Amino acid sequence: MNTQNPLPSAWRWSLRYSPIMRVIRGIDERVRRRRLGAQTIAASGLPAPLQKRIAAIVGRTRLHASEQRDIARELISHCFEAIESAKDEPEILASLGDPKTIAPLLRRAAKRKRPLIYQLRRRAAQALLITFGLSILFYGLIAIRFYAGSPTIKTDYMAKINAPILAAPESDKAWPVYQQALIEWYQIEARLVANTLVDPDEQNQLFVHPGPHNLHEIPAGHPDREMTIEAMKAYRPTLDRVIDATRRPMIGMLLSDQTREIQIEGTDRTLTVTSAPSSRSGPLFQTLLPHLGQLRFLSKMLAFDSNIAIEEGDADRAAADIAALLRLSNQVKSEPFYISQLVSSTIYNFAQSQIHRLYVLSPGLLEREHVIELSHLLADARPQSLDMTSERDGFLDTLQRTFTDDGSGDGRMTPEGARFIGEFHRPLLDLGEIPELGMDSWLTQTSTKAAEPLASVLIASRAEQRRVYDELLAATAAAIAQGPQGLPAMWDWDTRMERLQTSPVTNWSPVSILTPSFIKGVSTVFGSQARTDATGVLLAADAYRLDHGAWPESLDLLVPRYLPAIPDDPFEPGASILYKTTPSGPTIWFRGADGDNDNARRVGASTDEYKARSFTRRYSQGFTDIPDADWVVFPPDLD
Amino acid sequence: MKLERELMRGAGPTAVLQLLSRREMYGYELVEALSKRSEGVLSMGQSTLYPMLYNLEAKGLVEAEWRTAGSGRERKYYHLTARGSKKLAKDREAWTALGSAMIALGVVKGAVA
Repeated sequence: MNTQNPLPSAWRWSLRYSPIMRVIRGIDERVRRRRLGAQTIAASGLPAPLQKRIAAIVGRTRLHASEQRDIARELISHCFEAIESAKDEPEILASLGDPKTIAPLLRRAAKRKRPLIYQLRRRAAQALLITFGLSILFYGLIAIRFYAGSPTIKTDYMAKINAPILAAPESDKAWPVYQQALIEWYQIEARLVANTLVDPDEQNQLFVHPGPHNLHEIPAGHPDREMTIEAMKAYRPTLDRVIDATRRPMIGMLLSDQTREIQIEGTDRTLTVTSAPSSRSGPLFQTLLPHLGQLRFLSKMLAFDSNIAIEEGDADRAAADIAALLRLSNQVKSEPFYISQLVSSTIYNFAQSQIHRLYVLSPGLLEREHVIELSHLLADARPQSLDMTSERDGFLDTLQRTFTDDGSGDGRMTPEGARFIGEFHRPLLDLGEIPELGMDSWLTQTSTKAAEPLASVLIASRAEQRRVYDELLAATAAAIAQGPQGLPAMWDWDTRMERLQTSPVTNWSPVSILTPSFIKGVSTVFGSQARTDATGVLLAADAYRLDHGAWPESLDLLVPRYLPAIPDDPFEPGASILYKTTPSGPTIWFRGADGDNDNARRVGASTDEYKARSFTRRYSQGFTDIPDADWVVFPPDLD
Repeated sequence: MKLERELMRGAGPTAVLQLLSRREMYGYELVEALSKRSEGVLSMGQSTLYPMLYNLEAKGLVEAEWRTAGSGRERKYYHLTARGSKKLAKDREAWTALGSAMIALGVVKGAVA
């Protein structure tokens, strides 16, 4: 007979020692041993009542089979001794006792005899069970406390910001004029697109979608150039209204967390504007500021128009456009959002770039009154700080929507807060996405829900969140007051905030989610201040030139009549801005990131120009890419 | 006379240790000896003795060994360990002191020191 097993031997071995077979073998062994215990009693030869009583006692102990058999043997032996001593059956049964009473005693005593490892395992299991039980209890209490909390919205921060806008007369608001101007330009642009604007070489797609590009970007002789200039001239009556509107005290656009689209007649375009605020304002940090991009666009139109004016030698028009840019920058800056400050700075830099361009292309164009007006406007717009009022209000608004309020400014995370944060942030307990297991849906949602109560104990309290935020704002204000040398402190804050953002716990807290890096803002302030000082020197030198017929040989000649004082060089504490004049005009520069005077040497073509302007490279450690060059503010590199 | 349960719980193990200090004994033998020597005062059934023996064994005071007697019957013999001897010595001192105190108080009749 062929006894060869069809399964390969390795498979047989695997099957034999597989976990399931081990379990089956274990059960079988237990049954076998119990059977042996019963057989031991049955084979003892004791009278049936005694056997029955011993079996009842032994069975009730629920001990291991070997322990049961040992007890059975001892009781059997005891009974035989009693029988031999002429004890009768009732007496022996009485001596054996009630199984219900004796079995637990035997069980407890026998278990105490078990080896140390068993005792340790038992204690460990008990400890684990107790710990688990206490954890469940503790988590239950946390959950009750968590779900009992709810936020109280006491302050309508959006209404607070909108209040002065609503209170102001319409004549104080520039936004209606800006909005109409944008609509009118989009209509002109639609007609331009329909008519021409085809790149003859089909290389430069810039003109296919025309806009207020800097004029020098459109090559001379290009068919789109004249057409775009003509379109811009046709637009000038509208732009005049924009220039007038920049004199109004405020932009005056009502803030809302909702937007709507205005269909622009005669085009397929729409203009996004904020909807009227509802009676119950949404979260301030979700406030939409679509007008900022639109105002930036409008500022390019003004810059474009000033370029045309410079080419035409129209000093009044060029100065009016640049002055409007400076006023627009101030209007945007008056909106107390961090992002508004950054956009304001961009517009401010547009204005200064136009002044620089004007002096390169047409140095004698401006007249005295233009120079004076621009000097005053420039000085007014010189940034002194970052207005973070609404940034902070937005943060406080988020706190009131996410934390409880104990009346003294403190509180803990609420279920509404957890859901609120969860809407735009990853879950507190992030299991990742494993679509094939459905983990991106059911499991993730369930785990997130189950982990939510943890937020009330893990996430720092409301007071702590506010404390850290206010500390950061205070540090930002202090850094601006200190000057560029204060930047390293801001870097330290950035590192601290980065730690909060990457920690598995604190990355879920409002202070780490809603706090942007303010370094860019602070650096922008310093950059704008320096650029303003340089432009101020340029205008002062031009005022001198208008009086004396030549550029001043040194800055000392400008003080105090044309300049209150010679500006500092922020790249070298105690040093002044650098100036020289040549037959072609003045050169105004700072020492740049390397801190030394390289006699107005610009960075090489292979080096990014921003590196020479970098205060971070000047005052923070660890940078190796510091160009051996200066920051030449004037004349600009127009290429 | 039978001792109350709490009193038996204290006296029983010492009595068993004392009996085993003389020679090794098996369960039935212990039951009989306790009954005879204490004139029934410390007599206990299997329901009390065996859990007590297992506890003493768990504490390392006694050890047990299965052996086959001359009759061919299996018996589990218990004997005192070194630790059991020490424990018994301590218990003796304690019971002696207790007895003296009880005599002094007049709870137990005997010669007053």
